[in-house]
Amino acid sequence: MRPRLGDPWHPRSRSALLLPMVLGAVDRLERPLRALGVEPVAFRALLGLRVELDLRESSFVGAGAGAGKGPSFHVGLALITTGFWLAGMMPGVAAFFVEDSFLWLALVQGMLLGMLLMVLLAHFATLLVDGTDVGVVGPLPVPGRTLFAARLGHTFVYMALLAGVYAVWPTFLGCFRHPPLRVLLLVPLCTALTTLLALAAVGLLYAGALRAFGPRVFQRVVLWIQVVTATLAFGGFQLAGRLLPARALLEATGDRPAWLGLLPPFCFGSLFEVAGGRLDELRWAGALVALLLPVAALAVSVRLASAHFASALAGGGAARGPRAVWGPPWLARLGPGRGASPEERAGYELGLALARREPMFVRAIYPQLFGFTAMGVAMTLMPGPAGEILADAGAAMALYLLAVVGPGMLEMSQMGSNPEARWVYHLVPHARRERVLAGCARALYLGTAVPAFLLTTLLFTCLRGPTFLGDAAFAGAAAGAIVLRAGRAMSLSLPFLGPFVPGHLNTRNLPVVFGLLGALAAVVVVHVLLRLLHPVGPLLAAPLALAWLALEVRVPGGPRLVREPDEPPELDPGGGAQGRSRRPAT
Amino acid sequence: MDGAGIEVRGLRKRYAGGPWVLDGIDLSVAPGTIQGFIGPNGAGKSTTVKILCGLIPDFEGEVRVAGCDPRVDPVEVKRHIGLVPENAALFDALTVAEFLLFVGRLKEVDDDVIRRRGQTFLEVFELADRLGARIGELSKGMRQKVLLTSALLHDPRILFLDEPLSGLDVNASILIKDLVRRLADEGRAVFYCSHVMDVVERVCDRIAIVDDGKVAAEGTFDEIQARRGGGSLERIFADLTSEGDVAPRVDRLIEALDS
Repeated sequence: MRPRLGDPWHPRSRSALLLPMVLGAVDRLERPLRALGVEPVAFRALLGLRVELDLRESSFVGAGAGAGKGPSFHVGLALITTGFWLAGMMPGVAAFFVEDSFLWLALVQGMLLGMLLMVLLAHFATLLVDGTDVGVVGPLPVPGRTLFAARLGHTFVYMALLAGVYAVWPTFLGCFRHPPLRVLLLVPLCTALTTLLALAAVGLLYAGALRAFGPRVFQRVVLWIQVVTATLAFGGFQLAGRLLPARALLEATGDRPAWLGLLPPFCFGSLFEVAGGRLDELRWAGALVALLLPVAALAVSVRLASAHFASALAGGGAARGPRAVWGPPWLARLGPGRGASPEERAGYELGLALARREPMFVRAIYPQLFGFTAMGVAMTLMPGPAGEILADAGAAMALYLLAVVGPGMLEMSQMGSNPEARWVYHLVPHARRERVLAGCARALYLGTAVPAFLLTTLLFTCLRGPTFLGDAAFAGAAAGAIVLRAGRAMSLSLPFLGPFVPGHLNTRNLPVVFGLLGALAAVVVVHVLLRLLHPVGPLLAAPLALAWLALEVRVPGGPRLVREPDEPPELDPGGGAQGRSRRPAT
Repeated sequence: MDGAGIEVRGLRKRYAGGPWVLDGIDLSVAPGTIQGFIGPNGAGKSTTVKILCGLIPDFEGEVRVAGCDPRVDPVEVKRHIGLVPENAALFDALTVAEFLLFVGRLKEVDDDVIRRRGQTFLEVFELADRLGARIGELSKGMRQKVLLTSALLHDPRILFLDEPLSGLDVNASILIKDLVRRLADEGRAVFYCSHVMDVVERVCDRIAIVDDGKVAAEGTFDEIQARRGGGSLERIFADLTSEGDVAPRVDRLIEALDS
């Protein structure tokens, strides 16, 4: 409660580098911002605030709007950044194998564009429509366009960080194989343009949705846009790899269609060639597309943003009509039986309801569930005779990929739109809270993962024929057993009560996630071996896997509940871990 | 009417094909008036405030706030109003000074003015020593004082106060009630929502009782009292909006606990 050192009216940022850099850039953009109808002072204040809040650590467990970010955010961001840095190595090394500078730069930027779109749609696009601070900002005289532009600016800070580390390897290694001066100048420039392009694409989608559907249903529309586009991005990445004549493009340098240089990401190759002195009309046009398209698309998305963006963030005053309280009755019947504690049943019903209604959870998990299925479908489309075998393997792989979502689903279920609702648990002892968590985990498995698995199995059975049922039985049972075991080893907070953290990652659970991946890899190897031995090999081994799953299901309990900092040592010595304390009926 | 007040004619609003939440509200709040706006839970008070503040754009009827249509130009409306919502969100990770600077800048107030006004308000509210404290560390009453300060930073022509005394101690409540009176006397229009009937009765110049999306009674307290045959505002309110006697309903609740 002590005032901090220094004059509180002249606060200093937690960052000596990032925030001044961001605000300095904003100050230089005053004219273009005004031209776009964005108010620079408000834009600066909003963007500065969001970046500053991200740099601050949350010191409150039940904190609501603008509470700062916890360590999981910084760890998650560091891991995603490292992933981008490592991914940049591939196109960097490719510089030595792809002679044609046009194709190499298109490869560098195409891969970056795909990766940026995937992280945007899976995680960071939520920053554009996150409504947690609209209670503060909504009543202030900020034009919707300025608010939208500030959200884009905030998201751009993250995208620029990821793209920047990605470009390190291509910029460095590209110099050894391609004209170094052009590489040093154009790879960073094209990286910045690609980042703008990815952001503009998502911005256009959202601003267009606001114009088309209005503020009342905007949040629901963008939620499903995010689910559908992320699914397409997951599947599209695989499909592009399968269907695009990449090898032909690499080999037939001279024969590629001339118009290709007009399309992103090939237009960046045109820019590279124009900079090298190849000045025909189509290359000029391609270079202009590379330079102008990202900026123009971003400008259009900002201009398109409606005056009612603040209202749209708050849900536009929308209220949902009456609906089933706890979801389909058959799911409710699959819940904990009569012998289970009331807390576990309560947790089950809570998880069942919120897994379908909590926007953060739906945004993060559904694209992955649908996306992995789409990846599997894309893998089954492999052409040629070898494709038939790979198609079966790909279809089975989709089921194993669904299992990878399991731990992520439990992690995401810790975040919710109403962290202030934490008070509900204030008088509930730790052991009973843990039973709520166990019930919630069960609901997530049965209400989200199992239906996704069944739908995927049905889809692939239609695509591959009834023999796939054997693969599905083996893969489903083995993956399910691994997920249940991993889930019990995880340490989690109370369900749906943490503030939203993009790219959230709990370091405590990293070993569990790696263990799960290792176990899944081992089972995949066994599956492939069984398939190679005989087409019905997995079907014959399925009873063993089902027995393993049955054993795991019978083990009581769920994930470990992390003790809250504001939680007293133990309130419930009587109820304890026995797990059957009930409120006496009076 | 004078463009500095609030004018509402035939205001109607419903959500997604549901029943009308507001069903023909007519209201005028002149400058220098404190307009009480009371009603039972779900009567449409918060929806009305949100519409008047430019937070909900789709509604039927004519609304002018400070001469502006909140449907057409919500930003201009927000420039002229100060809002203290009932369940206000604040940035918990910001210090009090940082929050006031942020809000003031978005309200286009000069930094020096923000500092001067903010310092004075917080000194009077006995919060000056908390300027550098994070908002998340403050008590509910302290947060309410910060919220009131932020709502008044740009000297708005119209004030929307939704339970402004919530969480405040007696001394602070007296201070705020006197402040609201003085703000109105200086020509500002005040739209005052509360469930505390005796405060509404004493503070407000005019009172509108809203029930089921309609104005059930409107006028000065004396006018309403004369029309309803006397009694306190609480009694009149209960007569107009309650679903019957209280005693049998309490009996039902007790029986439910015993069952």
